[in-house]
Amino acid sequence: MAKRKSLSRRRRAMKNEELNIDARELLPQKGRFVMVDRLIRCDEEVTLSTLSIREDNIFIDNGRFLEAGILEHMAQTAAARNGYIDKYVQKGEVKLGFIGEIKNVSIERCPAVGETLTTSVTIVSEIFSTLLIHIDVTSAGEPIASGDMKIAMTTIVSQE
Amino acid sequence: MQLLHTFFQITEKTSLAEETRYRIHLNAEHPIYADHFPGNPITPGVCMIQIIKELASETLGGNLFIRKIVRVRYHQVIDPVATPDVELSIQILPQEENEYKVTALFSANEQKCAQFNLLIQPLP
Repeated sequence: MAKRKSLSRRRRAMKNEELNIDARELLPQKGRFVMVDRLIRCDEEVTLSTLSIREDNIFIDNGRFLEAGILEHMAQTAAARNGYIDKYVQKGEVKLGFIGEIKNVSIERCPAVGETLTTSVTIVSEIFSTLLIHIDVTSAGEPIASGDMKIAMTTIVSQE
Repeated sequence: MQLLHTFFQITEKTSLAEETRYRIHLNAEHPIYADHFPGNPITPGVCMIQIIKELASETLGGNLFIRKIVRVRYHQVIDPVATPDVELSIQILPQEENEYKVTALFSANEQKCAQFNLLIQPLP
């Protein structure tokens, strides 16, 4: 019962409103491994994030953002959602999460330095500590990647 | 980015017909581990995909593009301090035109860590 009560409180707290939060305060990943710039929406169903592809990104090769970087950006958009809930809804600390599974992710192309990715994460299901999500990545409205992931959420508190 | 020689090294390599088996050593001092995660170094799952791509690219002799991640399953995390030496087997099967099916398995201490099923294409 306690769990259900907290879920309904969470729903009320996560209204459909525009956000503009620096992802660094929401993610357990730090420094140069941060692959999300801003969290711009986060409600029960959908999370939206942005990332500008910069020259100094560690996943750049020959001016292109590598597949591994795209996948990390997809997973971190879900991590930013979890961090937002940890910090702004539950008023607690950001916790670590891991990719449990990646399924049917198609990659159209590796975007170039200078492009800005806009990514949406749709929650398919949330069962205990496993989040099943569908992710779509676009650049200037054109598809870059899409597919599904399972994210395992832990109780390990993120350290600075 | 290239992870070979900085993030990991090949310490053993055995080439079979369609499969190559590697023993690799992870460099726990690499800056990626300071950020993923602070005080809690864990090999990022996406870096394992990059390692597979770099090694497949070496085998096939050219740059590659991962067109599709058919399925990847992570069974347990790899801590580069506790388990710096891991086994990796990569199988590359030519598919219809200009595409390869790449399956790979990371294991440590004879336990499965992660399984990969990817479709890759050579870049022109």
